[in-house]
Amino acid sequence: MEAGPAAEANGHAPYGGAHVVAFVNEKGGVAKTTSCVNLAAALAAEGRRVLCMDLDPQANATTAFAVSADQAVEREAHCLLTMPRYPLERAIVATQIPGLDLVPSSPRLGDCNKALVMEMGREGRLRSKLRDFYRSVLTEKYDYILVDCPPSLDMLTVNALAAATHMVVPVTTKFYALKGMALLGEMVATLHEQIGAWVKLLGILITMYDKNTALDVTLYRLLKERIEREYGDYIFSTIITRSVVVSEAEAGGIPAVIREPESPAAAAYRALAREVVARLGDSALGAPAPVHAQAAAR
Amino acid sequence: MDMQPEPSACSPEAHPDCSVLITITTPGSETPICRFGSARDILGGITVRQLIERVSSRQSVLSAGVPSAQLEAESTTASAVRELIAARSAEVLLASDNGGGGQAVDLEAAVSTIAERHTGEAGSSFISISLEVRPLQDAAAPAGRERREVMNPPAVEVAPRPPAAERAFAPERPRSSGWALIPGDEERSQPIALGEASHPRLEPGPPPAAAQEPREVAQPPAVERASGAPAVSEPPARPAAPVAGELVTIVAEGEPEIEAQPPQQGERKEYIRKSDWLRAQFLPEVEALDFSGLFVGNLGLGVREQASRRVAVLADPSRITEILLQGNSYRRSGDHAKALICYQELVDIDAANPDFRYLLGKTFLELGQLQEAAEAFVRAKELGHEGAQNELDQLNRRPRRRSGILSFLRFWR
Repeated sequence: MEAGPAAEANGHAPYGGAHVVAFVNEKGGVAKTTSCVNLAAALAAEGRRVLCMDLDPQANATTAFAVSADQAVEREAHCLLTMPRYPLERAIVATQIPGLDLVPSSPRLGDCNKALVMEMGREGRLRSKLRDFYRSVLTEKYDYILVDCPPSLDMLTVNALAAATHMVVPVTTKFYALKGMALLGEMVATLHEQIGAWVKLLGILITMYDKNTALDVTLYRLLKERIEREYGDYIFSTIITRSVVVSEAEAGGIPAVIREPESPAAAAYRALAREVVARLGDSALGAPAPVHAQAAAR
Repeated sequence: MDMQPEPSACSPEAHPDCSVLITITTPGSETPICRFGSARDILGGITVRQLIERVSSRQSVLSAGVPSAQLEAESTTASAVRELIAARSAEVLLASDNGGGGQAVDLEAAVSTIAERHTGEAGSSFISISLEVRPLQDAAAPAGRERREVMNPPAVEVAPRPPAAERAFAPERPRSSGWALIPGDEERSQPIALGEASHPRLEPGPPPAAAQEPREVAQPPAVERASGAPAVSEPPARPAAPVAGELVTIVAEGEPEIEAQPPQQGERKEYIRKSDWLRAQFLPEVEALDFSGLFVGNLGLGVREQASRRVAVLADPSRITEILLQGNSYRRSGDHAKALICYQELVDIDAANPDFRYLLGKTFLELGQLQEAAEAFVRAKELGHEGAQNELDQLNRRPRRRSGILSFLRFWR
C-alpha cells in the first residue's frame, strides 16, 4: 500500500512496451473525452506517437479531431469489435495533428452491446486486436494508445478495460461522480477476478475543478485524504480546472491544447502529459533534469 | 415589544405567539391599557426574556415612577413605558457588568429625566411599574383556569369588567403554552421589591406598602379599590383598582424553548464555515464508498478483502474492540497462536494503527518468530509507536546465534 502507481507501472508489457490507457468512469460528464483528447494532443505535441480510440457511441472524440462521418462509417471501432478478422490498422484514420491517429466512432457503435452478446470471448475482442497489431511487423507502432470509454459499464467499457494496461479515472468533485468511481471499482475487480485483466490504475484525475467553490474544495480534500491514507498517491497532482477555452474548442475540430496553447487549460494538460509519462516510467518526458543542468542551476 | 396604542389590538387572538403581557391601569381610565408582546422582543438592547431573567436572578423587581397624569394619554403612556423599560434594562446591564453593585444614581437620573420630559416637572403623583416572574403554583394550575381566576374574579370582590377587557382576556383563548413559569425559576417566583430600597425617592406618590409589595394587576378597578386605597399585598393577586402610585405589573410568561431563541441583536452569533459544514456532511458519505476495486490491479485482490473488513467495522465499530479484547485474552492465557490471528485481523482492518502492529510484533516474539516480530516492530515504529524502538533494541541485543537473521536490523539503532 505504500507503493504508488509509478512503482508498479511497468509490471506488464503486453503490447511490446506500449501503454494502453483507458479513460473510464461510470458517471457521465466528468470530462473523459475532453481529457483523453487533450492528453493525446499534448503527448503528440511532445513528439510521441499516439493513437486515440473512440469507444463512445456519442463519437465526441471523433468530432474533436474533425474526422468526417464518412470516414467514421467506413472505418470505425464497431467493425473492430464485431468483425473477428477486421484488423486494427484498417480502423485507423489520421488526424490533423502530426503523430496523432484515431480509431473513430459512430452511433452505430452502440449496437456492439447486442452484437457481442452471443459471441465467444466477447470481453477480449479489443485485447486480441491490439495484440495482433503489435505482433505484426508491418504496422506502425504507437507509444500511447488512449481509449475514450462510454459513460456506462457495458461491453465497450469491458473491452477497453480488458485490453488496457492502465486506466485514468477522470472525476469531478461531485458526490455522484465519486459514486460512479466506486461502481467502476466493482467492475474492475470483477474483471481481474473473472477474466484476468491486467489493467492498473494510473491515477485519478480531478476535472472541472473550481477552487472558489466550497463543495469542490471539500470533496477534493476528502477524496485525497481517503485515497492517500488507504491506497497511496493515486491522485494526479495536476488538476484540470473548469475552463471555457476547452468548451470553445469542442466545435473547432482541434483540441484546446493545440488551438489555445497559451491558455491555462492547455498548460494543465501539458503538465498532465508530463505526469502521465512520469508515472508510466518513461524517461523521455517528466524525467528529472540532467545532472549538468542541475549543476548549472546551482 | 409592540407597544401599539390601540387597546383593541391587545386581543390575545391577535397575538397568539405573545408571551409577555404588560398591563397598565391609569386612575382616569376604567379600561386597562394592556400590551402583548413576545419575550424575544428587544428592549433596551436586550430581549425581554433576558431582561426578565436578569432581574429575576437578582431577586429584585424593578419599579420606578412615571407621572400618572402622563399615562392618561395612551400613546404617551406607551412611549413612557418603553423608555422606562429601556432605562431599566440599561441599568440592569450596568449593574450586572459591574458585579451587581447597581447603578442607582444612574437609574434615578434616567427615570427623572423621563418624568421631566413627559411632564415638564418632577414630582406630583407617580405610577410604578414592575416586572414579575409568575409563581410556580400559578404554573402548576391549568393555564386557562389560572388565567380565569385572575381574569374572572368573584363578583363580590371585583366590579364587572368592561366588554373590551373581556374580549382581551377571555379564558378560552387559544394559547399553546399558557402562563407558565420559566424553567428553573421557581425560587424566584415571588416578586421581591428589593429595588425600592435603593432608591425610595422614585416613588413619592404611592403608599409604601404598594411600593414594596407589587401586585399583579390584570383587571379593571375593583369596587372597593376605586377610592384609591392602598393595594393589598396578599398573594394570589386579586384584581384591584390601580390608583395613582400603585404598582402595575408586567407579567412574563415562561417559554420552555428558551434555548431555541435565535441570536438577537447585540448577542454573539456562532457561525460555522460552509466548508466545515460540507465536510461534516460528506465525510461519512465519502468514507462509506468502496474504491478498493480500482486498486486491485495495483495492490492485488487482498485490497478488496481488507476493504470489506473495513466496511464491516464501519458498520459495527464495536467489532474492532471485540477482536482486540479477544486477542488480549488469548495472549494472557498463553494461547499466542490464537492471539496472533486476532491481531493479524486487526492489522488487516486498520493497517495504519501502530498499536495493532506492536501487539502483532509482541505475539510474534512470544512465538519465537523473530524476523516477523522485527518487521512488525519496524512498521509500528514507522507509524509512531514509542515502544517499538525499545523492542527492536532488545531484539538486537539478543545472542548472535539467535539473532543472526536480525543482523540487518542493526542499522535501525
